[in-house]
Amino acid sequence: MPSDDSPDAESEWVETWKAHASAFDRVKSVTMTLTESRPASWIAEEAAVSPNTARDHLDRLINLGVVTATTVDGVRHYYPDPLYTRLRDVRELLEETTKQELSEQAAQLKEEIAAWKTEYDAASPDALRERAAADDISADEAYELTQVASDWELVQYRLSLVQDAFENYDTWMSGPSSLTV
Amino acid sequence: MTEEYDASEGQADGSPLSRRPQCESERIRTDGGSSPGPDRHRIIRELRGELARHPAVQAVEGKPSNEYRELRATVAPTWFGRQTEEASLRVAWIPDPSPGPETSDRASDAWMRTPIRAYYTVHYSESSGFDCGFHCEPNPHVDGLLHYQERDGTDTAYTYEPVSLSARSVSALFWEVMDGLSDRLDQL
Repeated sequence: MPSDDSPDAESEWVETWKAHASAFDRVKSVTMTLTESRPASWIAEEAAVSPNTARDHLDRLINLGVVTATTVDGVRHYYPDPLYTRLRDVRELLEETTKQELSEQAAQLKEEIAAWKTEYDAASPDALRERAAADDISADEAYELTQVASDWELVQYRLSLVQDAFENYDTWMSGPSSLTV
Repeated sequence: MTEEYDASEGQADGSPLSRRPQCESERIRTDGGSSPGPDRHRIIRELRGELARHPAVQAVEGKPSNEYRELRATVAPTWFGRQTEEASLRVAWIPDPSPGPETSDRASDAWMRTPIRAYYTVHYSESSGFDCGFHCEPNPHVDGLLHYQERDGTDTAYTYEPVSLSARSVSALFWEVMDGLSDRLDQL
């Protein structure tokens, strides 16, 4: 992907993205969807900004507690701050859900996990992934097992968020300033 | 994994909110390492923001509402040059699925034509019955994972075509796919 400083013509989709998202928003979005830490140069290229612009915005995101940085082989790498994303998710639940609804959601999520355990005779998503990797499993079966494992992991995470929100509901919802992160 | 979190069983009080120690995938990682459940949730949430920014999108929400397994959006068909009344978009994302299709005897299903290791779907549907989309997932009709599929109505068969995408990040790929979708719909 060409950067701001590139003399090359940009793809039409890059122009559309730039017309509807600021450089800061693009840098933030690229960084918040990482599954492994990346250097500023990589993020800059993907967000269609110059490396210096990316570093400036990443520094700001670090100061805001949104992004963390680590050094890998002498190069600074960036990754979403897991604590920030978790608190953001819990806060969204608190804002959109009553305490009774949280309890109902927890029950429903647990029922889904129980159903997967029964249907696939598996104790965990990892067991499904191990099964998917077996030599005698067809590609279709492996795909289904991988999808279910991923859904299971997602539901486990959602359940942990719902439990956090429920357990701290009275404290965090007790005043208008209590939700400030 | 050091200890399984048995989320289907409560403690003695039987409450659905009862807790046990979390499994590895639910713990907060600070080293940039990957944890599948939180990663997928974070990516879907971020994609929701990208969808909301896109000029074709009128509304977007997570589905099911209490799980966020995928996103459903109401889109303006006229933005794509289409004269139908209603259109929607479905976006799904499974980051770095493991094991990948390259294991065992599934060599022909390797990730090809896209640098991102993920199963993903961006699928457009019209109220007329026409639907099409970009899918990166195993499909017996296509060699490799990434392809475009299209059909005129629910009673007709899909046609499949291998395609390539260059974006290496999730967000950039979304905008590249939306542009590809626009091109496809414009050619109809």
